[in-house]
Amino acid sequence: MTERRIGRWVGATAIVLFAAPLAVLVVQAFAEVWRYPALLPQQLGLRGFRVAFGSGDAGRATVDSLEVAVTTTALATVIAWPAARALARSHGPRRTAVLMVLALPLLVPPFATGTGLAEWFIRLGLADTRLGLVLAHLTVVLPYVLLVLIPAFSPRVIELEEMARSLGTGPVRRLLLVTLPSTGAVVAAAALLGFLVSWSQYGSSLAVGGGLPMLPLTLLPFVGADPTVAAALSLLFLVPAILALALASRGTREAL
Amino acid sequence: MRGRRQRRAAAPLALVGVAVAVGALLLAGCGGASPASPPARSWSQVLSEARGQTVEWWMYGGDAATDEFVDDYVKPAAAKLGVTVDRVPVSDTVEAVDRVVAERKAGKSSGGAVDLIWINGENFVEGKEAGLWLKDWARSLPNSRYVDWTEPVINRDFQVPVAGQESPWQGAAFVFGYNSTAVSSPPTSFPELLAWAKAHPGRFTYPAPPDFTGAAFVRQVIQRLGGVRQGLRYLEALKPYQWEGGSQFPTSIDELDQLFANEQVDFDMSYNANFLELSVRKGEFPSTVRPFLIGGGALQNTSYVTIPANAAHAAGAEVVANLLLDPRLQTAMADPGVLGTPSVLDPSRLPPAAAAALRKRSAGSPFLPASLGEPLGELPAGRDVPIEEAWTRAVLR
Repeated sequence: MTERRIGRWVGATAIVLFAAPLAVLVVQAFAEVWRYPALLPQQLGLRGFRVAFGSGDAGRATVDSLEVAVTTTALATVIAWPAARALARSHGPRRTAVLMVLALPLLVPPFATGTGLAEWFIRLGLADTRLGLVLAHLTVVLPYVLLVLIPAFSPRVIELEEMARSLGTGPVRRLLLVTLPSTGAVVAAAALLGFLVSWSQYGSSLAVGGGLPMLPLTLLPFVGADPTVAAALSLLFLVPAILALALASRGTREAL
Repeated sequence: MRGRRQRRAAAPLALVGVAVAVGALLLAGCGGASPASPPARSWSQVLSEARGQTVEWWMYGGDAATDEFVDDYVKPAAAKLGVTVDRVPVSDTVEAVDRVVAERKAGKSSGGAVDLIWINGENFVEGKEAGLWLKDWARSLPNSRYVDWTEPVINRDFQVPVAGQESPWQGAAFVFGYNSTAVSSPPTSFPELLAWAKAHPGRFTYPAPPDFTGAAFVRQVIQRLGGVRQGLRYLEALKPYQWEGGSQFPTSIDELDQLFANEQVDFDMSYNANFLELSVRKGEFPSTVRPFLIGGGALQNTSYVTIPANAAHAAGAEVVANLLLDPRLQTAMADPGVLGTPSVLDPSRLPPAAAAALRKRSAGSPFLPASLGEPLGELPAGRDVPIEEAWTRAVLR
């Protein structure tokens, strides 16, 4: 088989695996009547969207979710940056130990972290606030962003920085002209991952922000009970995710 | 109440959650704090306190019809009294209870984030035992005079006294459904159902407990046949004639709904008396579906709202609970085109015109039984789990 034909097969498989479920979601969202054994809905309509968006709750939840996800991602990237730099240059058992501690929130079951967080966030008056949600999401998002960022600071990047410094470039210019361009692709990927993790948080959002429902909390009750409404909400859920993906893929391409 | 069955589907897990949380609470030594009773005050004081409050009503969020009822009827009525109602969607009631428990553990005895909960029996009982709920308020609501509190189906929630800690808002009745194009006369008793299943093998099934609806079906069989042993023997006899020869059960009511919609089985069931109309409206069932009862009367219970003892806006919550008992809102709720759930008001206590409006609104729908018959009460909450375990041992295996 030629390389091209293999590529074509991989492409076709990818379409079936990823695009087909998406297509079902779109059809389901517009299905007014869809009964077995019909392959397609007997009647199309906008009931799903009317219910999903009629009350404005979903719109509010989307705005809240976006604010929280963007803030969390930005904070996580800023915090993870120096940590990733330091970790990239360290070696040995200490590095492993530090990584383990940082990844702990990913290893512990989310349910367990959620219950603990709830009580403390209520004590601190952070429950049901945007700040509280950002901090709760940060516990999960930060390890992901950090783990992705570490390889950005390869010895080559560090060498380039050193060279720029020896040529008399100041710290700001060094960051803008050397570090960012050479790490941009990884930063974009890390930010994308951070955004998506925050955007789809269910457990921690429920634990500390049940009273300020993020989009996943609005969506979940409809799953199973009312597939049409759930599908309509899922489409809304997908839009920012796809936008973020597009943005990140542009970011990675430009940097390379 | 698709909502109810959804939330109860997770009941055992929910119970474990609440039990663990409550246990932890007691260990932490905070269990002794007694819940607040509202200070004796007149209704006009409650109204003036409630003005300007936003009531956070935590409720199952997967039922569009209920959401719309709250948005179209409850919110405007509350707004006239200066009270804002905010629906907080949960996928299981236990999420709201967990929050109240977490607040208790965090020592937050006032200013809590949960003002009102659409509660179910198991969670109410657990919370009542832990002293989570506001006491002695439900019977003082002005509109509670329209409620017949001597009625066991209202006075007791799964056989536990309500004790003024929760206020009724919707009736629930267990109704079966069939498609009139496929079945001409559905069975009216459980022996008839068995005979029917033998004549039509593979065309009947029910969701496996602990699914809420499936568990209610099993409890009903047990009550109608006069005991756990008789009931389980009946279900064992029924099993070989069920869908897939009884080797498989739907794991949730959604699955049974799907089988019924696909015409793979002939009967569906729900604790929501108006489930057929709601499903027709969602395009899931054809408009030829019709309701029927087995055993001469529907298994019935009541949906309540409760107020946590630490609620930030208890006065506003009382105002909303009172509105839910308003004859006009109850009449709208009983309308099959809105929710179609049986009213919790006693028509004989209403002014004649209001009683007539209520009767008129709930009559005449092809999707509601003409009468719910002699109501069958629920078994005590504590018996659910043993019955489900016995069913698993005797029938499922």
